[in-house]
Amino acid sequence: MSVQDIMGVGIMVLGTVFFLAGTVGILRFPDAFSRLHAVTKADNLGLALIALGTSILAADGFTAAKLFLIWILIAVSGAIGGHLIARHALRDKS
Amino acid sequence: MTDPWIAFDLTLAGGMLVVAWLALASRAAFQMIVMFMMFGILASLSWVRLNAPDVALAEAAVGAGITGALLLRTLSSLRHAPKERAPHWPIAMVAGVLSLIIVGALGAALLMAPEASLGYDRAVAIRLDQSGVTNPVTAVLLNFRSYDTLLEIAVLSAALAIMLMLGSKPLSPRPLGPLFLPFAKVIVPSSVIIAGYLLWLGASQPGGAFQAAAVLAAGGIVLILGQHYDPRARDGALIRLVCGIGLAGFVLVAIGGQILTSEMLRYPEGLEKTWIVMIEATLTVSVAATLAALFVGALRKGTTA
Amino acid sequence: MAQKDKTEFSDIAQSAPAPDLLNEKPALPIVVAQPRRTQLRRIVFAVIVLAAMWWMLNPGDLFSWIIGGPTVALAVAAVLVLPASAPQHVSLSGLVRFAFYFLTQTVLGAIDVALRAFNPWHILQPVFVTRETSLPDGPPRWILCNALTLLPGSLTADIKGASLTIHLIDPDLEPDLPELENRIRDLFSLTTLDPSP
Repeated sequence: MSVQDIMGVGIMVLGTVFFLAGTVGILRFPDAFSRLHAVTKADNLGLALIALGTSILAADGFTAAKLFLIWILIAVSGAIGGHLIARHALRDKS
Repeated sequence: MTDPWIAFDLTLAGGMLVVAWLALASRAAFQMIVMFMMFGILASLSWVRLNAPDVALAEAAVGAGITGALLLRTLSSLRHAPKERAPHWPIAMVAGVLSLIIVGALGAALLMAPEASLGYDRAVAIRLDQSGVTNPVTAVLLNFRSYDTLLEIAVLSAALAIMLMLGSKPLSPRPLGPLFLPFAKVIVPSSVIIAGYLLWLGASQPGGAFQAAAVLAAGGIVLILGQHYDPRARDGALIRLVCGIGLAGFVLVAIGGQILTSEMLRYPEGLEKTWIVMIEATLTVSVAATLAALFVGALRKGTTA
Repeated sequence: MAQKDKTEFSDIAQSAPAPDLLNEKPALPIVVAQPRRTQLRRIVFAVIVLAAMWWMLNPGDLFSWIIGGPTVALAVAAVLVLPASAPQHVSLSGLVRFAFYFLTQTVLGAIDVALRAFNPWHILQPVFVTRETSLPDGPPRWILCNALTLLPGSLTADIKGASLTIHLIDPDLEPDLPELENRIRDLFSLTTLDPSP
């Protein structure tokens, strides 16, 4: 295994830790809003780390750019999707 | 030496059974739909494990994505929440016996199947260079077995025609607040580009018209939900035309092939790739319009059930 | 793509005061005659960004433009269906500074929420707070709301004009709103209103 492989895999493993944190948060946190914190923030970083690890393994600029595009699209969807769910939940409550 | 993936595969298979059971056992329609969508995602993952990324993409985009959206839309149109009563025991008995017969027949078919008949991959590989494309799945769908694809499009068009005739409760999207516009500004143009990419990729790698159409339809649904585009206000006739053009175009290709090569759905030699890309592009736009139209429901103002 | 939502647009329909939020009339696209040059700039900008995206997905494949050309055209048409917003001036150095700040804060936010999730003795005491923003409507405010959602401890739950309902996972973790606003002003080359502390 080269240094590159170890770095890539290491970063991806770190990413899965954040995904796990997001899932634990969904199960443990008391209300919909707090759960959204877990999903939006932890999963966003988890995906960023997995994309980063994969691009290190791929060692190709265009593959890295594609992975970056995937991350951007999911980050935008995650942040705004989280807001939309919170907004809906708030209006249902009142 | 066991396959290191075996633990993952077993978890996946077990998870699919659990999710399928939860979807069937749930009494709340919303929960059922969410479980169904989850089942679609797990099914998509298992297609990846079976080395069928094309089917995985289609399952994720169509099975989990668009079908889920259509089911949720249907749920919101229902006047009463559907209540499920426990079936009477004679019906339950008959259903149980029939299910057992089907399971038995499938099991018997699997056990009695000759080993060599596991797919057409060899037959396809031999003739792949004649198909005009390098992705075997696209070659089968649009060249060797294009008749099947033609019939699939016909089924989709028939579904849309029936829905338009029956009419439906018009879509009344809720206001989604100021942050939906930036979301649409990023997602809608990206979905168009990614649909085009999947379409172009289909000739040589996993991808193709149906996956592209599902992504394109999703972009359209974002436009419609954000009330940036109301297909009922204008262009109703144009949209119906686009929906119909997939089937009509395919039929024209079939007739054209008959005239040019004296064989139905055979493409002129040397031009296979051009024909396939043209058909796929037309199908993508048309199927996307059909899926979005199925989501919107009535395309004419004032047509309610 | 990340550039895109920063440099373009503001929702014209949004600037109208929203009456009762539950009974908002569907915002009809209000067509305002745009100066032709703005419209042209918008089209050129969209073509450049979307063509770059296609090229990135199909590097060096000239034949792919057979599909890519019509695809980019369709995508530009989709952009034009969406309402335009006031053109923004993004400062490049401001973008670099903001991206760096944003990335570090995103990582901190994720670590914070992960520690809360994994700590079995931690009890959440979430609260809602309402804050007014002094940023103008359009891209600056959009960036603010999305940054708040990814920053440690805060989530934009509702927006009514300039007033934001923010959900805090911990009352002590209130973000420094004026500081964040100043960073966004720096990004969009807007004049700093508040004397920064």
